[in-house]
Amino acid sequence: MATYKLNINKKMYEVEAEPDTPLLWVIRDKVGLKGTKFGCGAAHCGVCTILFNGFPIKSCTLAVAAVTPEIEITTIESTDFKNLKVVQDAWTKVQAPQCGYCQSGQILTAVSLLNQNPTPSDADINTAMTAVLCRCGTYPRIKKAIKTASQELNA
Amino acid sequence: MKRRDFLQIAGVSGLGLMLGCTSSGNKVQSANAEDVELSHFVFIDTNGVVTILNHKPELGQGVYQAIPMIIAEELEVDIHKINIIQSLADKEKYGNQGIGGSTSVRRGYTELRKIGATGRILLIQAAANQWQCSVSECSASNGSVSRNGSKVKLSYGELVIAASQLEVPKEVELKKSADFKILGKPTLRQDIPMKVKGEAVFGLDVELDNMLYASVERTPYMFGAVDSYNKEAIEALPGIVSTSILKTDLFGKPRQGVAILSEDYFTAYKARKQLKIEWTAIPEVYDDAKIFGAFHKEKSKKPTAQRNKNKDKTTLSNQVDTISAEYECPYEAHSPMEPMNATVWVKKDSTVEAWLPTQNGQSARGSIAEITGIQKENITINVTFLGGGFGRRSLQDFAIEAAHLSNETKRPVKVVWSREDDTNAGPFRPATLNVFKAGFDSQKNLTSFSNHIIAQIIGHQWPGADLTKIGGGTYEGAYWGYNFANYTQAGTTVQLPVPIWYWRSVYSSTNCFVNESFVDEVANHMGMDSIDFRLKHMKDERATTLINTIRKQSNWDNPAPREFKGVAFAHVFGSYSAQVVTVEKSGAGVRIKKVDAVIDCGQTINPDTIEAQIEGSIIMGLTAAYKGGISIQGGKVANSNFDKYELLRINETPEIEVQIMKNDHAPGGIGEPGFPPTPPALGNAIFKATGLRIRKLPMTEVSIT
Repeated sequence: MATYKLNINKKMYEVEAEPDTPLLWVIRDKVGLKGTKFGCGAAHCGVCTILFNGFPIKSCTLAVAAVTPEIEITTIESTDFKNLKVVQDAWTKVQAPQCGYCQSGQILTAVSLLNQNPTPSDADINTAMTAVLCRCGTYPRIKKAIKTASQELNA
Repeated sequence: MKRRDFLQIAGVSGLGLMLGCTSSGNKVQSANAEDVELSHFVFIDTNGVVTILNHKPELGQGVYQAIPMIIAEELEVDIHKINIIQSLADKEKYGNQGIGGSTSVRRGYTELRKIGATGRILLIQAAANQWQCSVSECSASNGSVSRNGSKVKLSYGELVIAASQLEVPKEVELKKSADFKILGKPTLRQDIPMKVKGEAVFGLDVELDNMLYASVERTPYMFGAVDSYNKEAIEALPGIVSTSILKTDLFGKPRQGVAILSEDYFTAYKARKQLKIEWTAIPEVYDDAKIFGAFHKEKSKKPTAQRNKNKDKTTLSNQVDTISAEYECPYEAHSPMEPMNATVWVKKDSTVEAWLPTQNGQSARGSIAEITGIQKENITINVTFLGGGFGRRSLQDFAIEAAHLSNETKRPVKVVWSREDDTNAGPFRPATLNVFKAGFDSQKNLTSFSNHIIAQIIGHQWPGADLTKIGGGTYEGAYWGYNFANYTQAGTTVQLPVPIWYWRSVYSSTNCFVNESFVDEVANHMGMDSIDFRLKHMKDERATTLINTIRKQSNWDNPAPREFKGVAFAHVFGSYSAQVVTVEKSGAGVRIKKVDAVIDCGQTINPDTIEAQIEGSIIMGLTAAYKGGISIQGGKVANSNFDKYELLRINETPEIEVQIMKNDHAPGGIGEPGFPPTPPALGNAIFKATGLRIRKLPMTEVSIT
């Protein structure tokens, strides 16, 4: 066991964990933020996606030992991350989720895309969002939600 | 009853508190109000705040909103102002709570309306009593009762205590569909704000004090028992609390594993790599070739059962020409994004509380009672949100495992399956072989049409099952409404040591592909247009209206240059479903441009949810058509994670247009009917574009993008 300092949603957490514990499980079970989900454990599905300094990263294969306190981690529970609320509201407006399990990963990936590119094309959306699987098949609505959020950001 | 007590009965607030988050979503709280139970489903507080329970598991299909909508319609309350709460699993109170076969709305519709109407009538009666007038002089609307022809009004909050003390009427009058204010109108779902904020509590998110996590190394051969394992070595590893052999069965055969329990999931999971297990009772080892070989052995034999219609010897005597074809479909895994998991706490006071992402909490309750010897009345089943299900979560193996482990440790235990655990164990959508034959007379009129499905039968897996009978569900998805002469659907059961289970649209998921593909082969052989052929052979007006609608929507008769269209139709789970897939040639293969869909599910509840279900079904249909297929090698699953068992991604998703027919027929299902037509419509479009008839899923013979 070692002690790690994690900067999650602008709050510093100190956790005890084995160095090889994936960040996903540290965030879920040690920090207690359950909005980040477990899907495949092998970085294939992206439902565990969180943001590292604003960029999407799959937390299920990233050992906690590789994370430093300087890295600003953002999870779906953040209340003030740039444009997260705009994207969440767009998701609600177009009724994107079905079961909802993958949507934290989808939303954070979309927030990162829109923060880099506030007017993404269909191709841009596809490139960014292909990282996150959805078995319910909410992709058409995810596209619509990103465009809705983009319009909102550029209004 | 106080609101707090009531919420605890409903099993939500306690969990919310434990998780330190607000699982309350949009819930309206009224201060200093008392909640009054008007029925098991309807609570109204003395300030007039209405709470309606959803008694069916929510796995994405939208019952969390749809069921309260049906009750609210008859109750005459504003759907946007009600609280929705998930009920416990309790047959005595809520009736059948299992979900499967797209039945929640279509089977519950009338009863749910009666529940709402009963509440309305009680509230009206309470007002009439207060005004000392007849109920016919009163009407209910928007949460209050008015006296006709006056401005006198009493809110439900003012009436509810009196109403709850009245005798429940035996018969209630339901509203006319023309008077519906809620049903049939797109309505925002109350579960969605929770889901976009990460606040919705799924099974995996349940956290209890003193809880142990379990990770289980199950037999890699789908069945099998543990002979021995290196118990001492594993229990000496840091962080391991205990280990044990999980002596569980599936369909009466051992499907055991070694459970490792720890204070956290990853420690338990990681220790599995150190396990050395001696397996026993391993079944005969199969692979894909041997499985389909077993099917092919049956095709020349007499089928187990068959159904025939339009027997006509005269027509048959004119038969001069036949065509035949064989189709193969693979096993599929359900692969919901949330892997199987369950949390069960067998308490020292001989009560049990469980938190389950389950499609059938009542079945889990029964199993837990058997395992623990504790009576059902002392077992509380909280149903969490489900991160997908597609049928998988109607089997309760995950809950049974957690119950065994909590029973042994008397601590709360959460069993978490890895993705590989989830895929390897199955049970799978059945693999199938279908053998078709069609006959024609000298004028190329169809004289016979026969299909022989050779597959494992889900109901035949239990010990003592009657293997001589095949239920009608085995043929579902093959449209029996076609008025083909000498029309036969036959079935042969095959016994294999591969567990199978209900998977979105069940046998329709393969039957529709093979039948609607072969129907196209027949039409092509006769030189007929695919839609003209279908219309010629169907009488049901809802079916023909649907086909004519998809014909128009998809611009069937005027494809753009280089575009090719394929059609397919299904009448399944109480709904009519037709789709056209449009492809264009792309190199040697095709690119999917668009999927058009039309659904007739009768009276609609929440049309926005219907559209979402059809979109999702199409995407799952495309996945099964050209990406899916569980491969079995050496008795084990060869593709157990998403790198090899691929799902469609957003960049592969074509444009989808869904149209919902408007009528007031009884509601049909919506969770499954969108799936079956997608694979055959794609296959039929590919045939038109390339001349290649695809008779095997997944479609790997041609490049599809």
